[in-house]
Amino acid sequence: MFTLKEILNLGLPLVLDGGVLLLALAGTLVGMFIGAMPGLTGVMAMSILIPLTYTMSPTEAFALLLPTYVASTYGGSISAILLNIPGTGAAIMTTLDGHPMALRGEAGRALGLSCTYSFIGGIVSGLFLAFLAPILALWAIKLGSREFFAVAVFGLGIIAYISPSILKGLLAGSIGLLLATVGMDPISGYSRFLFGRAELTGGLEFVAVMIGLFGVGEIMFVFAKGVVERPRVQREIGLTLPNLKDLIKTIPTTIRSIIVGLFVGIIPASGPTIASVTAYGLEKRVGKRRDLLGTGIAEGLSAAETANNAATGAAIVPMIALGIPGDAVTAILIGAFMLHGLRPGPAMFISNPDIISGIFILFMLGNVLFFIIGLFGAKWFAKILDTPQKILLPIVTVFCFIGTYAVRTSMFDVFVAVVFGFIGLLMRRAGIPIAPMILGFILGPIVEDNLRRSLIIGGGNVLTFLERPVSAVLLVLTILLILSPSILSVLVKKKIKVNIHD
Amino acid sequence: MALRIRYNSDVVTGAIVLCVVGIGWYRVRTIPFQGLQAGLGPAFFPTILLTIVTFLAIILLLKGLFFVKKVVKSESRTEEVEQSLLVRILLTSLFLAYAFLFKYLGVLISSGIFLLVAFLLLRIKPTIALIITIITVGLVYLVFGLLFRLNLF
Repeated sequence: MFTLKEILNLGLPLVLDGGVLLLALAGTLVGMFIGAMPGLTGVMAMSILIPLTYTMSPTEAFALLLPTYVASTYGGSISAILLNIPGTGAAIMTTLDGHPMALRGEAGRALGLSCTYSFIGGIVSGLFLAFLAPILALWAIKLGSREFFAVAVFGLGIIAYISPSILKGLLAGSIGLLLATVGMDPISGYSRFLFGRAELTGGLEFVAVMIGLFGVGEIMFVFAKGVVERPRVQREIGLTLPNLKDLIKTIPTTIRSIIVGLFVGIIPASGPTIASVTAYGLEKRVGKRRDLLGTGIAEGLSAAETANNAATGAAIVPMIALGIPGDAVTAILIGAFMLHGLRPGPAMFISNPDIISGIFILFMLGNVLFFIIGLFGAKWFAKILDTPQKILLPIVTVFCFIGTYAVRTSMFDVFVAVVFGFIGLLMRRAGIPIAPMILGFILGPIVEDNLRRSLIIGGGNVLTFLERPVSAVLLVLTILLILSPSILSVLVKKKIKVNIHD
Repeated sequence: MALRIRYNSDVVTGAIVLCVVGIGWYRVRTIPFQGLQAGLGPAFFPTILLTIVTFLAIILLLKGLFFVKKVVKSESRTEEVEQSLLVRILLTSLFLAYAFLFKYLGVLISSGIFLLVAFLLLRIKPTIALIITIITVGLVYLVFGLLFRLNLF
């Protein structure tokens, strides 16, 4: 199933089209730009771009979205190096060695290295995606409703677990699931929570909710806090082509970071940020020049940038093979599938192998494009970083509103986006994470459908989930994850008591 | 000071969620519980979720009321915010006004007004604000009006 030759045979004819290539280029530029701008995130870029893909074919849509995703992950390193402000969360660790290099007058070297490491991580990640996704899909065909329910609940459990507060993460995820019940019941066709609005029969519009929470909500939050202007970018950047000596010297770090990135990336809800932090932490423990980390060395950049881009492809694996999103980015990608009447998962490997192959190739293409543009156009992007937020944010707001309106030319959706913008603002102020809510909203129909089907098959017995090993293990793991902080605190208290007695 | 804010935020969040969930409980009574199998009808899943959300909101509320003990030192803010509180409130409220204008004046005019007002509130020079507004509205017309053939009026 899906050899490299098959992927090329099926996917290349779709991708080798002038329009598709142009969209991939546009996606890369948008991704790099948004990624480089502190305050604007890749998730925000993708949610704004989704409405534009409405009139496109699925391949064209992914030609725009996938390069945006990979390029925004890299783009975050540009401002991390030049301004010491990570453009995206994934570039947090890049500031530690990238900015000291820039301060030494080696901004060009740092930009070239970060671009090259991102490219290496991204390409390996793309190969990993093309290799593992079909295998996982083949295995997933054998899974039933109980397993799919358990996988979805596990994904929600992990994203709640990694939230700053598990309680708030769980609350956000549960509210997301609840929001997904608005509209027609998938099994009986009964309409729920319409509040007299016929527009809600088909449920809350995904794009409006997404743009509201990630786009409008984020901008409202910045406005409510007050817009703070960034320092100006260093003017002299120098040569951005990577030094071969640096690349050879850091091969062990790069290999380690690829492994960390792939491993962390495939775990639901982990993604590029955690991969980057983990790889940098590992380098601090085992790296040959670990004592110099943080002073501006190539190993620091390699650990951070290789790992975060290696996680990008790995994060897509569960989404494409199981149809279960692991984080906000993959939830948006699922939304793009849904917008085109497609449902990712094992069945899609049989029904639309050309689109799947096209996705693998477009992912790689996105990496190649940002590598070329990054190496030769970094200076230009550095200049764009000087665009004041005061100008940028109102313009992004306009595109958020029109993007929402464009999907169904519905004014109701615009109001939904504004309402969810306010909800997003309140959630940010209350410290409630947004990603679990979006994940819950996307997973809602999957969870409900599979839960009710499983219970119908099991005669209403909840223990039916423990009859299948995969669902049993995943559900037990989810419960352990959620309860782990309480269990740990009880154990620590017991240990302290024992120590006092001794 | 920081402790008080955090303490209030959990209590307020818990209370708001409980109020919203109350509406959900009221509405779910009208949805049938019977489906293909007893108790597994359209109200089954929302009822489970409402129970979970209610439970979590109560815990959050109680945690906010009784369990926040650590005194968190307030961090001094080093960044300089240019906008006054009034301007920040106006900017946030502008989103609602934009949505209403969107409905009654159409996409292009409402976007133009929103941009101009937002730029002026953010203290962008009027001439620059006007130029950027015209360019953005023109771009919107090109992309959405001409390319995507969207009705912008």
